Amino acid sequence: MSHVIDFLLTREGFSVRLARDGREALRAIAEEDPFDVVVLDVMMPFASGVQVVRALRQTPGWDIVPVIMVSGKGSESDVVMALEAGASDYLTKPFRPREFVARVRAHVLRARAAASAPGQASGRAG
Amino acid sequence: MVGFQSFIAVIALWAAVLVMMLTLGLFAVIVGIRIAQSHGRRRSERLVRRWRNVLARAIVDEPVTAPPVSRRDAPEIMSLWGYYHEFLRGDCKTHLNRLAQLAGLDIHAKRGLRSDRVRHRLLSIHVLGNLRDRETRRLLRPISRSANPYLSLAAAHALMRISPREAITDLIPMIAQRPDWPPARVMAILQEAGPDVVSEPLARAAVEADEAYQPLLIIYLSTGHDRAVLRAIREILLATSDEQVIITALYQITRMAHPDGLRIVRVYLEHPNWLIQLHAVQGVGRMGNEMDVDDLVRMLRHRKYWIRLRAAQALAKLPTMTSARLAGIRDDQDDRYARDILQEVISQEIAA
Repeated sequence: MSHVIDFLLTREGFSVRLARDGREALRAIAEEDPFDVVVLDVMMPFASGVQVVRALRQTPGWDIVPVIMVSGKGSESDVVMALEAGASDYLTKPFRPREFVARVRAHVLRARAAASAPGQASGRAG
Repeated sequence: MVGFQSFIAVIALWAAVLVMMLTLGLFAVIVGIRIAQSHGRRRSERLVRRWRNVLARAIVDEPVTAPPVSRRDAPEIMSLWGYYHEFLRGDCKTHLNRLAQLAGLDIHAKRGLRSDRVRHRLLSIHVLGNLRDRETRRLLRPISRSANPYLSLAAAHALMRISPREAITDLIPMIAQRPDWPPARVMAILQEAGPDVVSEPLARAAVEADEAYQPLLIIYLSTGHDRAVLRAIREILLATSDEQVIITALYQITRMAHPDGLRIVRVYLEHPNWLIQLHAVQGVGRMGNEMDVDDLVRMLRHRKYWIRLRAAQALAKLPTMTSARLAGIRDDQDDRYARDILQEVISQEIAA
């Protein structure tokens, strides 16, 4: 799935940084500058998407980054748990590619509008 | 003596040479297998990389050409194509189907139905289901009736995808009589088809089925519209005295929590089988109202602990119930067990 997301976002002009698993995502949060948007799968090896989003919300700079979670788990409790952990949006698989891109754009635009610092909008997605 | 020793030495020498040759031969075979595997893996990775890009482009723009797919590569590509189909929806599925036709995956899939390998046959069935070509139904129908549970269920699923309204009439008699089909998979197929398709045929089948099959069909009924489900369950309950059927029906009504289900559930509060009463009390606990207070209070004195407990919990859950009123009901009870069980539930409520 990451390949499709990479393709869709690259096509839209984003610079995409892919993390293979939860551990790599956590490392990226610890070591890299905040992105414009983060797209997470809920089920990932080593650290779940919910764990990553919790860590992200406790990291200065990353705490305001929109997080879109994409998952095959679509029950009410799964969605509520992800949103309560700090996700900005939740998309269940199967999803529509155009809808996904539109949501990413909407979140990025909203975050850019809300951000006070002009350097926030670097056009990167992870 | 010397001649005998030299004979032994010659035998030992030849044995050593033979072992050495065997070891070298085995080593060569292992190296050959590893080289072949590595070559195959690299080839497969190249193929997947190339096709991932082809598939990703097809998601966005309708494809006009596609790289040809050899017979050898077909299973790998069909698997990848099916994976994209599973996690995407919308217009892009039409694009993926167009790509499959351009690449000849439909032809490979039809051929794959005759493969000796079950995996290839499953992949082929899956591809044909996603392609939704009505012509392929004649190929899939016999497989849906085969003894192999994996192949038959996959074929039934494919048929449901191709033409759900037609396939449901064939599927329902089969699901009642195929205990080897995992119920979770069957539920997923019925859910995918949607309540508009499954409600009426499933309700009819559940009403007309033998009592041995009714519990399973009642569980599957949850994929239908509430009104059709309740109508069918009411008809089933009027005609049956089978305790397993009644319990499953009450469980289903409780799970749905539809207001119309309350009247059905209330009838079974007086049933002689305490397990049925238990399910009825749980149903009243989920859907009940002020009119059920007297019945529930009476059941606080039941000889079975579980019914007393569920009745007390049901009382506590009633929309009009308050802690003070519950304590009042407890104090009014002459029966020691009724008082104890209410006290237990009151304590649980406080602790929560």
